[in-house]
Amino acid sequence: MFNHLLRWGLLFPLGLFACAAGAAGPAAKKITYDDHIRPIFRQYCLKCHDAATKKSDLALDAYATAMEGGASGEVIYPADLDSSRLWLMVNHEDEPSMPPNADKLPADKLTLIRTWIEGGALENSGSVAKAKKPNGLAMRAPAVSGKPAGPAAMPESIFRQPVVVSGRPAATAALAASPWAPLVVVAGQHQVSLYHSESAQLLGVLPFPEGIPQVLKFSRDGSLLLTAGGRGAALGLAALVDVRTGSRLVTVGDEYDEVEAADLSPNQALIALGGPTKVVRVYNTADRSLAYEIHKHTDWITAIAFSPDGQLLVTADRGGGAYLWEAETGREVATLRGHPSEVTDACWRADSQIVATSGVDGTIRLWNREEGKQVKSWTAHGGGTTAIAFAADGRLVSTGRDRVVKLWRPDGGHLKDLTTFADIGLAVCISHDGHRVAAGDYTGEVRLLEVDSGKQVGRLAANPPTLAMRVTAAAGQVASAQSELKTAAAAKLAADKRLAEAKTEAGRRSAALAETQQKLAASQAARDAMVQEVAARKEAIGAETEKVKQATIRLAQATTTVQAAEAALATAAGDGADKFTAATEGARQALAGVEAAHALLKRAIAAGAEAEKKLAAGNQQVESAQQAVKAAQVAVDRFARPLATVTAEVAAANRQATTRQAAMAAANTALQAAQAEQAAFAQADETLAKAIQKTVRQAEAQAQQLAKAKSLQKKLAAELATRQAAAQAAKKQLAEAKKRLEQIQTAVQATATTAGEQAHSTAALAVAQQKAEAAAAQAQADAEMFHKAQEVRAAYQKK
Amino acid sequence: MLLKTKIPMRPAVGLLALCAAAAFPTTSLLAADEPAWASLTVYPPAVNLSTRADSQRVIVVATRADGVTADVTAAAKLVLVDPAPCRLDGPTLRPLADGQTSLKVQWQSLQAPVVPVTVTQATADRPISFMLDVMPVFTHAGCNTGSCHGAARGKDGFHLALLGSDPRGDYQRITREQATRRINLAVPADSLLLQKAIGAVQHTGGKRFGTDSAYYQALYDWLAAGAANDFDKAPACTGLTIYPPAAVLEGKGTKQPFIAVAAYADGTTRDVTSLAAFKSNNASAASIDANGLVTAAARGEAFVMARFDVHTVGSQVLTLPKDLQYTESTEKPANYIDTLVGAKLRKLRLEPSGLCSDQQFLRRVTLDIVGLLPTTEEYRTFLANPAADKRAKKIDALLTRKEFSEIWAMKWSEILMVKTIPNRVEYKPMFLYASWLAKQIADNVPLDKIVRAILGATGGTFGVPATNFYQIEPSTQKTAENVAQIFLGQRIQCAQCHNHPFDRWTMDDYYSFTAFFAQIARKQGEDYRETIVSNRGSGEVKHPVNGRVMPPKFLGGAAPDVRGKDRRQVLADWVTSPENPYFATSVANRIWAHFFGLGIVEPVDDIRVSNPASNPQLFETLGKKLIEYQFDFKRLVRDICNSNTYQRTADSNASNAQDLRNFSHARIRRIQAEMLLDCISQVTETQNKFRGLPLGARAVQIADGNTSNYFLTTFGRAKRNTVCTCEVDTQPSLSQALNLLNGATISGKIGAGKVIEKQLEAGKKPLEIVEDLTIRCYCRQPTAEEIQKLTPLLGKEEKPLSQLQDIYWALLNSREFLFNH
Repeated sequence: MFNHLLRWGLLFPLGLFACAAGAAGPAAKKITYDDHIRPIFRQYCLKCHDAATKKSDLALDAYATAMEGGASGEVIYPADLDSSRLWLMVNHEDEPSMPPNADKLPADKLTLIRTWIEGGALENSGSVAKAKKPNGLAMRAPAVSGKPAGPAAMPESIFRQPVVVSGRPAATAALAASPWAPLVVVAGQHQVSLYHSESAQLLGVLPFPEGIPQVLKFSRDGSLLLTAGGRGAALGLAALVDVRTGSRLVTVGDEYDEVEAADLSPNQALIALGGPTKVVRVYNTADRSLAYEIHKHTDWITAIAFSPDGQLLVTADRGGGAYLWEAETGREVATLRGHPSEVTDACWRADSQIVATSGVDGTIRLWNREEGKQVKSWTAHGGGTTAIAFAADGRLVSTGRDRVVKLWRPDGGHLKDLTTFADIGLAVCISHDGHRVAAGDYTGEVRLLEVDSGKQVGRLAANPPTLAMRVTAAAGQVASAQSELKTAAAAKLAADKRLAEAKTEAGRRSAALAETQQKLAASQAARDAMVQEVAARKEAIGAETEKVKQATIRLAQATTTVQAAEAALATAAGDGADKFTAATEGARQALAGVEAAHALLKRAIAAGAEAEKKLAAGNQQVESAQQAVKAAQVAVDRFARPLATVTAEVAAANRQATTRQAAMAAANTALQAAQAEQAAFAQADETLAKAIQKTVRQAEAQAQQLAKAKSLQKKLAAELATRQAAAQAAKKQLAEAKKRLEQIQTAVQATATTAGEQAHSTAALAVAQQKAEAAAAQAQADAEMFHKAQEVRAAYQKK
Repeated sequence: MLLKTKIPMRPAVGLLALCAAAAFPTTSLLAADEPAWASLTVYPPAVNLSTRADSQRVIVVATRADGVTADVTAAAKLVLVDPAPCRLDGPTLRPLADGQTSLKVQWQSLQAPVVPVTVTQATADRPISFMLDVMPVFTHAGCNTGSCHGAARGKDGFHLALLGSDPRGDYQRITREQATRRINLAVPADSLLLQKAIGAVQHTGGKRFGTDSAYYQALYDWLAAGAANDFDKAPACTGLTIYPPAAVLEGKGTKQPFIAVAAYADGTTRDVTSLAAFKSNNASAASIDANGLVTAAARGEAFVMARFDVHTVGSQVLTLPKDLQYTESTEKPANYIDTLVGAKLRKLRLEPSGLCSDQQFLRRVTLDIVGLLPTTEEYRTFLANPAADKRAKKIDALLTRKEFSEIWAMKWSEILMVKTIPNRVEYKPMFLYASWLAKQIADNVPLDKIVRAILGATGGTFGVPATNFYQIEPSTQKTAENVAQIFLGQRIQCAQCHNHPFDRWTMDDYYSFTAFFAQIARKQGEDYRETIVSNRGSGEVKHPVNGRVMPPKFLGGAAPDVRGKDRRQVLADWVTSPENPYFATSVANRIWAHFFGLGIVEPVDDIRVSNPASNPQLFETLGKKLIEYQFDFKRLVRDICNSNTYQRTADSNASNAQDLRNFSHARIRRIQAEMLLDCISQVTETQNKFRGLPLGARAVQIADGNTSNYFLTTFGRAKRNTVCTCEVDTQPSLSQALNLLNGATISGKIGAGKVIEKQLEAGKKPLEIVEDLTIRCYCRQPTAEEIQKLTPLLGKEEKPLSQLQDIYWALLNSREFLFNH
């Protein structure tokens, strides 16, 4: 994946250049230092950056020196615009902007510089773009995993009882994520809170009675947590805590000021720490002895980190100094030269090849391990980058004074902004799987963010509530859940009733609608019949009209015949008269036919008119019936909406009731759990107290025994002395008191027995004493730790 | 050495007797018969209380007829006319309800003027404020002083702006620079800021205050409230007043509480006695503690100062012994100078010394006015003159001599740094500048006109020589600093990087003032030696902290409208206007210092709140007189020389022996290098040759600061590298003594001048010659004792040349010759 990214990153600008060059034509194909760039430098830069003046050790008047760079390292990386500081400064993306106190260079000049760098920063027309210089950003070695054999450590038996609860959190001092488990830890007041990185659930609170933890670091396998800090100008130390049980394993350091930077070596053999005392002290965890010290720093130590492979140690200070050391010996390996002011954080990439530092100059700088050379630098947060963390895959997450939490590609490309705080960001970490980022700001707000969506999953309080408060809160939640449940039930009842009513009403409306629809159907049928009738009548009228037409034609013919007969009559009377009479008769018949047809037609028309009248009435009827149907429909529709609402209400009420029940159940569970935890804590408290009492009693008894044994010993010793004296006396008298020899021998024997007894008793006494002392010391240590936490708690409660 | 040196003066027994005969002193035994108490005053004169926690302590001061004051706060009866608006908690007023009332104060039979009291927002709580409550704590507790966190690089990794000059930066550094270290908002009491301050943890600065103090409470409350800032909301502090304005304490151990009241832009006032930083400039006379309580110590005077926000104010405290026998001088004042000096002396119960003899007067006034010694002839004429006003006449006569203007041309050349500078100021423009200056003074051009010509100068350095002022110093900031120091007597250099710690000048003032010189254009003239200085009409000065463009603003004055004008001319008009409170007084003070060897404010170019005038009334009056005389300073010189104060002997009496600053007796001064050389040449009748001047020219006429000789350099001639008056060094040194004893100057000049030879040849007797030499050198006759001791030395020779030369050498090597007395 990296290689892909890198290849893209490499190819893209080259492609762009090709396009630009292509557009400019073959003559301007190559942008070179000699032909194009030096004149620009000459005009704008050389007054301060030529071989003579050489401000910041940078001379741009010759290609070789320009490529060599200045005091802050190389400023031109061929074909890597984002890494080329020269470009960032002339393009006013980085401070100090160049030329100083002046406007940007003209756009065409800037384009030339950009194209030149993108095109491989060629010297002259004879130069050929070289393959991009590897800047070491690719993962070269497999990550040192350190994966634990069994399941990753999660807190198992750590109480969630905080040491200090305050109204307002303090600025977030430190955050850390377990490298193998969904576990995020947050520094608070005299305590470290442990959270689940998926659910944001509080898993436990580790007391740090010595002060404020300023540094949190997990061991490589995630089983141990290094907590370092203390009280400003008073005390600094680092403690190693078992993540599962919360018990403290090792405490090292006795600084006169708080520890501000610390780390545990991957093999858990060394703890390095430092702070305002300017000295890095490295301790052996095995016997808490000092392994070595580093006195090179001239300002407060602000960052310490062991490389994951355990070979190197990086340390940095408030004055901008940063160094690489051999982790085992503290021998200097390289100086990381570049930060002009305070270095705020340092961390290693998982493959130990790259170490990243951040500074108040706003940059994140990547350095290679071999010579400590800067391979990449970019301005990440205006005003200062305050914290950085590498994900296991090489991505970087950072925050700073611009209040933003940012995610970066392994090569420094900007991936996304995750969130913006209300005040300056101070701490950041990324979960083992790279899916969650936790970040905290100056106001003490710690946000748990989902990396992919950028959504806020939860808030992690550095300042969680006490068990008692949690019980109270849980009880309150139960009570409120109960009352809510009651309300929900009542609401459901009311909704049900309203639904029933609505249903009845709906039935009524539907019936009315059906009736009206029936009426409409009838009206429609009647109208249809009428339409048919009208059609029939019209047909009849047509027929009659035809008939009239025929008759009229016939009449006309008859009339013509009559006229012809008349004419014939006039010319020839006799014969003509017959014809005339016949014609007249024909005409009269035709006329009668016409009249009859006319009468029929008149009747037909009258019938047609009547039928149409009827049809109009029928139409009206249909229309009104339709209107009625429409009205009924509207009524039904109108009612359907409230019905739906009521139905939805009922459903909601149902859901609500279910949710409330669930909530109630959950609240109850929570309450029980909290109560159980409180009880357990109280019990543990009591047990511990009892244990302490018992230990004290035991110690007392042992002391009594000891006293007894001592008195016995004294008695025996006295006896021994007496007997020895007696033996001595006897010995002296041996020669002269032979007769009392036996008696004396008995006495001597008795003396020997007594001496043996005494030796035995002394040995037993010693063993008993040792045991008693060990038991007392253990009890004392436990009791002290607990008491210290209790005292701090009591003190703050008083406050 | 043959001759006993005559410095200091011989006891002026005769003079004392003369004084006693002339005056009729009235001796009053103050201690035995204490004068009555004359008046009663309550401070502050008006009280404003706003918001619930506000309070104001009042102090009651009684003043005796002879000026002695006493704190009678505890004994006085304080009554509120209407007790509703506020209550009295001892001498402290605390609000009860909104309204107005007044405070009546009575002590013995005295009634003080009524103090009006106004109460507003009596029940409102003022939220804790970073600007008003927190910042003053750092200043009061000394956290931000130059030796602690106020140092440029801070202390132990923590930096605060010097004396609270940058609240924004301080806020940033306290809260966010080391975000998890300095403050703890969860548990405020655990904040390192507090832990260090109360000494609970290691702190290089130790414990600054306790947990029960108001300072702790202020910081705690601020942290508990979330440590917010209110840069823009909080009203600015516009002024500070210290009460009482002056005090005269009688008896060692007498105490007088002082209170400091700050005024804010919103019209409210606040009792900041517990927050101000107090300081005394002379703790051996009066010390002041952190709460403003002054305790009188040895006899003397002190100036106690209160500093709060950017303001510094002071009050004069005089301390007198309890049972002092004091005879008030009845000498008639010659003019206003004597009246004002006398008033101060009376206040201090100091008796002035008597007037000096004619011989002493003649030598002193001739040296001071013309920089030469009176000749034997002048001496005889003056002594023989029986007129009562012969001293005044002599002064008038001397003032008309050209040597007078030459001295002042030299003095102005010193502070204007007239000299050649390689590659910048060539000889020709420099010489033109010096000549122009000399001509102005010789022509009696009023000083304001000269200054206006210099400040507003436009043109070529040949044609308009005054433009050389801007050629000598090309830096805008330095030019502004120089103008302030030369013409206003103010040193504003501090304010370039931070607000002036002991004066009123802030960085804003500095850069606003600098803006007057931001538009000067310089280009080379036709002759390469000439520079044309003109007004470019563009160019601004930016504030270095936040980049604001600073509009031109007069020092302590208004921001004038400069659109379309030459800013320098606007400034020149202001500098020389009578409204300008600094110009006339500072110039008058320089003139005064020439005649007394000490300014009323000393050093004369470092006038500031914390370096006040020893006699403020005199200081002001001299300035006013100069304005009244339309800056014809000759008239002021006449006033000064005619005063009794100038004409006193150098002998001190029992009461004024310790006094160094109040002009109760004359001060013995070593003659400045140039004049000393001129005097030596004058009495030995020899000539000197200086570069660019004809043979026989006097040393005071040298135009170029770079022209010097071994003698002048040894005797501390100003190098004219800076505008500081301290360039002129009149401190005696071993090399000076060696130069006179073994060097070529004296013996060479005795040989070259042949004064003795000429007189011997003229037939003068050896003793006559001794007399003449004594008059030449000391302006007096040899004493009988001297004659008696010298006579055997001269032997029987008729012309004892070498003996006389020895005597001459001894005279010139004596302190009586080298000093003006």
